[in-house]
Amino acid sequence: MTADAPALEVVELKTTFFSRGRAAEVINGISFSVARGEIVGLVGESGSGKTVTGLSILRLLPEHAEVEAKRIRFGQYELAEMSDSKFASLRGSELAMIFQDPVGSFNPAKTIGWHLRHAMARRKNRQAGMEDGWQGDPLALLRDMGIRAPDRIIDAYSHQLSGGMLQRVLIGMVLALGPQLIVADEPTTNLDNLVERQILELIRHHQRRLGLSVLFITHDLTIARELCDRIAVMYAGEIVEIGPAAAVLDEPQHPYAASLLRTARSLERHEASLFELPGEPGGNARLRSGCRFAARCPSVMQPCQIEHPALVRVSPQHQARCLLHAQ
Amino acid sequence: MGVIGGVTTRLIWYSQRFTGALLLAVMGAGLIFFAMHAAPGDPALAALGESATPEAIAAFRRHWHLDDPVPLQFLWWLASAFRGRFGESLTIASGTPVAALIAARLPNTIFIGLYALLLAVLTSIAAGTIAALRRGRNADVIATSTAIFGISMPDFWLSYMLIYAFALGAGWFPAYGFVQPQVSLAAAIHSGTLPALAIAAPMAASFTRILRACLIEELQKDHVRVARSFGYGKLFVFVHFVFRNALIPYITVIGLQIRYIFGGTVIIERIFGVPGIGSLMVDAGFARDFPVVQACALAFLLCVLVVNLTVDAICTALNPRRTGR
Amino acid sequence: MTGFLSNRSACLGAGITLVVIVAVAAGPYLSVYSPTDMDFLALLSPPGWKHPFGTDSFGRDVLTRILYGARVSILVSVTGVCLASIVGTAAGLLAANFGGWIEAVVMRAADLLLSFPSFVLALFLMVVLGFSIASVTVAIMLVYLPIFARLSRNTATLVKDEPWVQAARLFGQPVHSILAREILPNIAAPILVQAATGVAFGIIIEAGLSFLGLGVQPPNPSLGSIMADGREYFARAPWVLTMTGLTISTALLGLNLLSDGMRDLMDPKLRSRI
Repeated sequence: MTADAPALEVVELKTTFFSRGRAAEVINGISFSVARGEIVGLVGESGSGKTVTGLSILRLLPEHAEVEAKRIRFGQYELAEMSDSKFASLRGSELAMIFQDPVGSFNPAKTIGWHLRHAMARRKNRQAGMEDGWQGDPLALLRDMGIRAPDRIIDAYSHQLSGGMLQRVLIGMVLALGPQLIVADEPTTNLDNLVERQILELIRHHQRRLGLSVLFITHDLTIARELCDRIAVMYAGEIVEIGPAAAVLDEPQHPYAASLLRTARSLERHEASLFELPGEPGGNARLRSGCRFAARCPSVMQPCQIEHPALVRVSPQHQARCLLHAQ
Repeated sequence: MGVIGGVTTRLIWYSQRFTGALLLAVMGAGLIFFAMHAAPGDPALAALGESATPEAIAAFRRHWHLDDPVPLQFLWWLASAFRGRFGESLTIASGTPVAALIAARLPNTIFIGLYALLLAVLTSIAAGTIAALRRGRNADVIATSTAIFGISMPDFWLSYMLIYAFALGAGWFPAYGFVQPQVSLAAAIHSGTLPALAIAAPMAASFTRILRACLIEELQKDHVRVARSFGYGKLFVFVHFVFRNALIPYITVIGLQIRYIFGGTVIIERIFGVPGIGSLMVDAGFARDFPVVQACALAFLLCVLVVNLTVDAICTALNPRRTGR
Repeated sequence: MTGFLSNRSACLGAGITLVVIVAVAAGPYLSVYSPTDMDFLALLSPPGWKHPFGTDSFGRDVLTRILYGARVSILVSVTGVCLASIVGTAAGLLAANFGGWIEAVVMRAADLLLSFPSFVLALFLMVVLGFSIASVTVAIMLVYLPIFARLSRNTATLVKDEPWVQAARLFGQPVHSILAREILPNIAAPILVQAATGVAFGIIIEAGLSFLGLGVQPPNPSLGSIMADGREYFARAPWVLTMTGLTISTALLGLNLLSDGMRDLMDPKLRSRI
């Protein structure tokens, strides 16, 4: 495995939900990769399929969901065809996830200390003799997460702590597992702004320190800009633009990405009338032939209704799924 | 948040609950007493027979304060109740102190009741777990169908089906008669199996449905998915994240249903000839032996209250949120 | 409606219940026997062509007796549960609406009644009131009264904070109208479900009391007393008791499946306005 090989390479990931004999395709053959030590942002509105992407990779979807992929390469493992039992041993040791709602993520009947001990033990079980950075000491871990009086919360239960505190603990637990790749699913959405800043800083700090690869899922462009090296924009189950963060956010090539940006800027500048994209990201978009964004696109053209655009290379690292760029 | 503070809060909470139960007990006793007094029939006549002399009847009435205003009678009764005297049986065991009758029989009822509870809980844990984990598949369908049939059966009918199959047919268990536990524990378990099964079956069916629902609800919670993402083993996740948290609603609901076990003992004891307070109440009911009926009703009430307190205590112990920390 | 029809067990339950109702209503007229016809040539005969459920020790056709007895049992149970639901729901609604000491009294009373095992309470009432159809009905009513009171008070408490109820209050709608028109329809669903299960269990209580001899007295036929008869010669002729119990179980199975189906159907609908 060379140093240049990506930590995660996803090719043609497709996820379908089955309900009462009907199939609903949530993700339609997306492909992306995360290099080692890189933070890739997966940006989109709710319903775009970004959370389902994370869950699909980690095989945490409910039973009525079906995940298919041409290839999911993770380090030296090929995940797409792997058996469930083999995958279960990878999950939580090489591959981990930080969830959106810290409050509901804890076992209400157990103390924080219990959670931490088991997370740390998971790593020890897996690789006997491999030391984690905290020498199996939960207090040291908590202190490293920015918690000043860890001995006070060790015996507490999750319902006694704030969301921000819990998210710190959760991040600590995930880091304690020693994974190579972390999928972070909107880890700061439920937190107040001030706490949000701190958590993001925490994530960035440890990511750099440990050289972790991160797939960062969010709907917030400002966060994406701050944190991510590369960004993939999702709409209606497809990736519509992917490239270096600065390129995508400063010069978006896809009308949807451009609209997102305009909305964010409009909010930031407290404009008198906020820019708003008409229509809603409904489930119908996925059923449409032609470009899925056509119904709301400000730059829509005639062929857009008929021809489904493929990802086109706009510059060496930057691709967009739009007929505007098709040769 | 010291240990001392936690203990005190718990003590306060327990004593509150206990006082509440005590209040219910007294109110219940009052209800029983006043209802009994509305019943037709003269206790003096019932006890002494039709041919009793007027003097004997008057003496009887004086002895038992039967001419005092009813609330005052209640107070007399309550006073002697606290001293452990509940009067004497009028008809079925004339002259025997009721307290003695009850004391002799109560342990048998409790034995059968606990035996039934154990069977019901164990069965429901096994069946409910399988049904929840294999939801929608064959095992689940079989379990839930059996459960629904189980709650549709009259328990006394089931008793006879059991007798036919296992006593008259296979001969594994006696069809009648019960050996008391103090005589021989093994024989008590043996002779008590069919009665306990008859009581337990509809309860097991109901408990299974409840556990299944609680487990399914818990399986869909976030923290279960987070635990799986950490790569913890399936059994570990099930026991500590799913089952452990489903226990609280499960125990709460079955706690409300435990009183049906006591209700079941009434007929079942009669059918199998178990000398417990259930059969005592039926016999006394027929013979209009009011003091005995009263005392039996009160005994059942107290059993239910004790069970409720215990279930409450268990739930609180299991639930970190309720200890007031 | 389509949701209900697609729930197979609920349909099965409805079907069984329908068959039972029809059988009990029309059966006595269709049967060639009367419940008291004694055929001394066919004492204790096992189930066969002439007597689908066999005969008892007096040569009476068991199936016919079951049909007649079921009428009484069902009548008693349904009446008791209906009365309990009306009075109990009213009490619960008042408790939820007015709160304060009314609520405290209603809830304490309900707690008290619920602290007795149902069958013990029923038995106790039989001793107090004497053994008859009326007293069994009252017993069943008192067993279910607190259950309905609690249920209606709990659900009404949830509903009364909904915006449309508050709007009605602001508009000056009189209290009884609010209770009847706004709150009641929205709590009707769980109450109906409870009533269905209540009737099922009520039949078991009535049968149990009659079985012991403490309920409906002969010559009034009752499912319990038929089984009590059957008990006498159970070893020799098990069919009397067995078939009666089987009938009860099947009928109640239908009722329980039906109420389960109703509950599944109405669950999400609880949140929306009727």
